[in-house]
Amino acid sequence: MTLKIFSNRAAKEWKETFLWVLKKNRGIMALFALLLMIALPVGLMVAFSSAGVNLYITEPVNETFSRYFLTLSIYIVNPLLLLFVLVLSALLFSYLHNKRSVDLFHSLPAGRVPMLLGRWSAALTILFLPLLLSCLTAFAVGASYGVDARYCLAAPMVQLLQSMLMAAAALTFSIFIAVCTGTTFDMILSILAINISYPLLILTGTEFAKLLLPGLGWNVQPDSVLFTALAPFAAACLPFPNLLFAAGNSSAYFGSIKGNFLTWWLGMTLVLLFSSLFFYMRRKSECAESGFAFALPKIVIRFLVTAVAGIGAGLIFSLSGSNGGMFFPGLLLGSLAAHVTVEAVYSRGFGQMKKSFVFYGGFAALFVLFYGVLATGCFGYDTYVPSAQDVESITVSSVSSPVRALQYYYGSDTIGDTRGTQIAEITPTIRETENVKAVLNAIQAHVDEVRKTQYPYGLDSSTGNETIDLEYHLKNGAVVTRSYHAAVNTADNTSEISKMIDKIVQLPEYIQTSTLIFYIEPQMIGSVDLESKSSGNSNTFAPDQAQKEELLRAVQKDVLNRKPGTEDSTVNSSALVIQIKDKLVPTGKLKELTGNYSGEVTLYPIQVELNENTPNINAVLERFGWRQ
Amino acid sequence: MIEAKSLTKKFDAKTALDKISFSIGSGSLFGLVGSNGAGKSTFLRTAAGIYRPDGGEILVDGMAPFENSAVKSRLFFIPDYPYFIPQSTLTDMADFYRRYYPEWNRDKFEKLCGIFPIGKKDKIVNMSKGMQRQAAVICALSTQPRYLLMDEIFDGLDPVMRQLLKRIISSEVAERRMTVIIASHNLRELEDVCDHVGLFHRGGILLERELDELKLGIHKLQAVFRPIPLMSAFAPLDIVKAETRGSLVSLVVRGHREEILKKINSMGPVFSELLTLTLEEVFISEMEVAGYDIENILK
Repeated sequence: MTLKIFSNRAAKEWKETFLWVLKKNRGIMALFALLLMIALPVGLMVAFSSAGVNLYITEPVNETFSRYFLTLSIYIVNPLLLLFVLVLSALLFSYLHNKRSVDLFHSLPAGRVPMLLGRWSAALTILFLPLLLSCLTAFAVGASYGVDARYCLAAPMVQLLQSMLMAAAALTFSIFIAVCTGTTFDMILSILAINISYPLLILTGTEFAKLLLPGLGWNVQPDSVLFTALAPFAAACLPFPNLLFAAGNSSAYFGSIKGNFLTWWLGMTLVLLFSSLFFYMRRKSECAESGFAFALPKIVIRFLVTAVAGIGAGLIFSLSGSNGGMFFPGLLLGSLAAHVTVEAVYSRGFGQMKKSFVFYGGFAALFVLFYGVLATGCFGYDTYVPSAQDVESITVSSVSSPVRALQYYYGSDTIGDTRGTQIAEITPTIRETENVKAVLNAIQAHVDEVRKTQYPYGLDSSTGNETIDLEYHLKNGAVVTRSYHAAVNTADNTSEISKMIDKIVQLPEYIQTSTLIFYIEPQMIGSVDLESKSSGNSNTFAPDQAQKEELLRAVQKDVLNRKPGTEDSTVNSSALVIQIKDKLVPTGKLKELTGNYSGEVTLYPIQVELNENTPNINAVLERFGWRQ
Repeated sequence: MIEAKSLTKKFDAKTALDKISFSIGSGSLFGLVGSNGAGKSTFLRTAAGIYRPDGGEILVDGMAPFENSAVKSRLFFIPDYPYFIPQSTLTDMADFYRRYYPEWNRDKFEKLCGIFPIGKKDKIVNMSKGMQRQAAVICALSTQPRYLLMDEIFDGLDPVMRQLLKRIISSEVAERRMTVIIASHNLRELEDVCDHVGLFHRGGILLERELDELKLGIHKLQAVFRPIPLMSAFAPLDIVKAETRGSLVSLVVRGHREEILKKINSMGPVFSELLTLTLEEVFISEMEVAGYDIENILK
């Protein structure tokens, strides 16, 4: 009975707070709605009008609508949404930062939980109602241009839900910071500091680790969860390029949406909301206008900024030397400057500076620990090479070896649809057991050599001209990445890494899976051009089926036989350009590569330099009488 | 009833309320006096449920007010600098308060708006300090609180408004048995309106007494003697303070008026009179007896 009375009372307090905040901020809501109307429905009308007569010719109008909607949402609506999140957070929660307003609101017969929830839900309503209204109007605008919502609703709806989720996450994060801080200035400063410094720390930390730990093959992706895990404003902005890239195609758009990213932010929003309530219940009213209500956020922010500035300055300094020795002066200068600045800004002076160096000591200790772990191989990370029986396949995601002159070109390594959107990528893949063993042995030899000569590891500020990035696809489903690099004199072909790269790239399976020429079939060839580089003349030939088969076999044979390190003589040479038929439906190996894609694809022409390294092609061309 | 039991409130290292214990009965008009920083405002904020006690407890009708909406709905706190929603008018504030206070009385609000010379549609931020306090009082009384806590409420009010406010408060207490606590460092304002007083000093309560008992139990006696008797002759009187200037003897004496007069007249003075002490004089006398430098306390 008591619980019921409490619940009824709390529900009423929530309702009254919610309604009052809505009423008080109806002007802001109207302004937001107006701006969204200009951004989305009016923006769509302008885009459709600009397209003019081409609107219905170049692509179906449904797809045009979807593309325009996504582009406007990502470029204009989302930033606008985040700006209003910040404005609303300051407007609705700055009462916590003023002693007089705290007197009013905390003496009201309303609990802190319903008061915070009432404001939170009102803020979401102020953000989402105009957003939904502008989207509905946008669909109405689309319908007036003949857009059928049944065929283009999915991607805009997903984008809308994603925007709403990220806005909710950013708002809840701002409220959490508002509860933890004593002034609105500190609140805004903290929101910005975390959202800028956290992704930068992941970025600089990773780059630093890659300089120290051999084999570390982790690259920061803008839409990875870890990159923006504690920074919702950054998380709402950084995946924009990926989304925008995919915005032209619904299936590609859905492919760019990452489930774990959305799940993380859904969970984080709830965690932040409950944390805000928890801390608000424990917040002392007298904290208003003072520094931080709770010490932890200040410690975290100071650590983040100190670490980013320290490692960042260290990395910049280390560029001036090849052995990384300048990293430490940079680290010291950057971290000290950042620590002093953050402390002076948050404490409004230098009164607490001496005490704060305890926390700088904490940062230094953590950095030493981090450095020590990496320098000693990170618990065996440096020497890990899986056993052959555990490996399903090994893919080489990138390789660069000026020593071995591997930058020859046999056509693009990406395959796109007819609008140019990428649907597959050619990645060299080793699957055969013997080849897997050979690759693993080569890597093991390199790893052993590095361990023997460089342990404990020091900073290697040269990113290396010899690099190879690998992915082990294990039979248990796990994917392990490794990246090896070294700076090697191009005249030196005896370095351990060059030998390793040699062994891998000379495997026939590597060559056959790394070049487009091994994925096409004779019937896919449209025409053949022979270009003379010296005269600039070009002759086009239309081979019959038998000629196509013979030519393709000859090209494949020469590519397969070609040894790394053999230079192409480009002076006075000719080039064979194999033109692939337009709007090709993949079959055979190509279909397998594109994941059984059933639509039409566009392949770039395949070009081969003709010289002494292409005897089989030369012979075929002579026989066909194409070569003068 | 408001009860403080070993109530303690600290701000970092500073103790603002140091284990204070006393109670304020329902229907009383309680004056909290003390110098700046004595803990009056802290006590009011703790009683209003704004501050959470760091030790002991404060109970309003037997319940702690912190995070207790049921208790807070019977309380209204007017701080020394009342806060109003930015850009709001008195009507806006009324709309705000009516949502939270179940006893909000619109008729009373309209009536009070008629009594106090304030425009309901005027922006409060543009009003003078005194008018803002009047606005706060209108809102407070319209919620019909059982407990009204006011901090330095008379500051900025002109003499007419002060008298009006005192009259309205007194009538509310008489009609609804509302309990009022007024914190002030101005004893003269409090003695007109309060029936109980408590003296705060450095986070503790030095004295808490009914005002009549305090004032009626102590008097200032002035008498002229020729010749002046020895001080031992005044022994039958309960003297708090004695002073002799020529043939004039000034005494602060405890006891009933008639008994004091009877005793002094039996000594054959040329002239004698018994004066009522102001509240400030009473405090000064009591505190000096207790060993405090009261003039400094009340500064």
